[in-house]
Amino acid sequence: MALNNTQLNRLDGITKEYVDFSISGLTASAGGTSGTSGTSGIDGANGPSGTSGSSGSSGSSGSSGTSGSSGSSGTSGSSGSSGTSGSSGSSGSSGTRGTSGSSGTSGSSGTSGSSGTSGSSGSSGSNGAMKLLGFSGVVGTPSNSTNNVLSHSLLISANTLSSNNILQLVWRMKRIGASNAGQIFSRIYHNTSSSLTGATLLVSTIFTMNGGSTQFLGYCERNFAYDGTSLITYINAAFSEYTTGTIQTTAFTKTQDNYIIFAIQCGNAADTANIDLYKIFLYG
Amino acid sequence: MKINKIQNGFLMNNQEYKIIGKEEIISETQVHVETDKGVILLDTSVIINDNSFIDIIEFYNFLIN
Repeated sequence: MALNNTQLNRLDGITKEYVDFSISGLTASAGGTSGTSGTSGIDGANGPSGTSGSSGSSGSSGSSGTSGSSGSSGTSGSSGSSGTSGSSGSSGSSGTRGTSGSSGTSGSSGTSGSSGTSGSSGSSGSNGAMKLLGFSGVVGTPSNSTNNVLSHSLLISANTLSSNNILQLVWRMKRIGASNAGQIFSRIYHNTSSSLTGATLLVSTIFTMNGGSTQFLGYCERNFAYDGTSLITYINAAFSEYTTGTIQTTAFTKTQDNYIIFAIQCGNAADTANIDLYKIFLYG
Repeated sequence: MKINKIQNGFLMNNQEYKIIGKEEIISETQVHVETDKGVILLDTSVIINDNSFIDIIEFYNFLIN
């Protein structure tokens, strides 16, 4: 029997590969013993895939990323400390003129500066002070009879008076001639013309100077409150204001021209009398 | 000056005066007349209803009658 490339197991245990050999001398016998084992089978099929290998080691670090976007603005900081005070301002302007008549009030303080200088004295104004409307220091038209005569008059122009005014009349009757013995009378009126005809009596009384040949001057005065429509005084024959009397209210239209009239009269037709001074003041 | 009589008074300068009291004759030519507008001096130079007067008493009597 020829064999090729067969491994034979020797009885002595030595394994030896024979390439080409043959066995001879062998004869069959009855009922022989079991034959030798057959030759080895062909190689088996490839086995299944092995299990996965363990993970590899980590790779090297990647390159750096690009820069991120800018962050939002931070909150405002706290206020700074106060600055130093500024320098003083220049002096203020001079004060305004004072009220009429009296000395002016001190000027108002200038802006941011020192106080202004005192204002100069104000001129006499038509309002807010006493105003002399007129006067005379000489005799007027005399009375040399028993007639009541207009001695002096003064025009008070329309709209001179206003409500809450005071009209003050002062006058002095005068006896002319040392030998005049009779009484001397005086009255005051107002009229829209410089005339006694149609005139309105301002004080319903007669200012009477007695004392013929001994009394020569009589100083009279009256104050009138004016409320815008009427002149208000009192009735009393006393020359001065320092007494009492009933109230006299006389309509006085401020929007028209008015004359204040001082009248004089002799009780004795042979005497002569006059008014040698008068003053008219307006307060308001 | 001209005035005109009205009942219980007179018109002067377009104003009405009501006589409310007694007169007071203060001289031979002058009289004080008490009216609702105060005491008014009238004299004989005043013409009343186109009438002229010399005597103050006649003047006043004509005015009030």
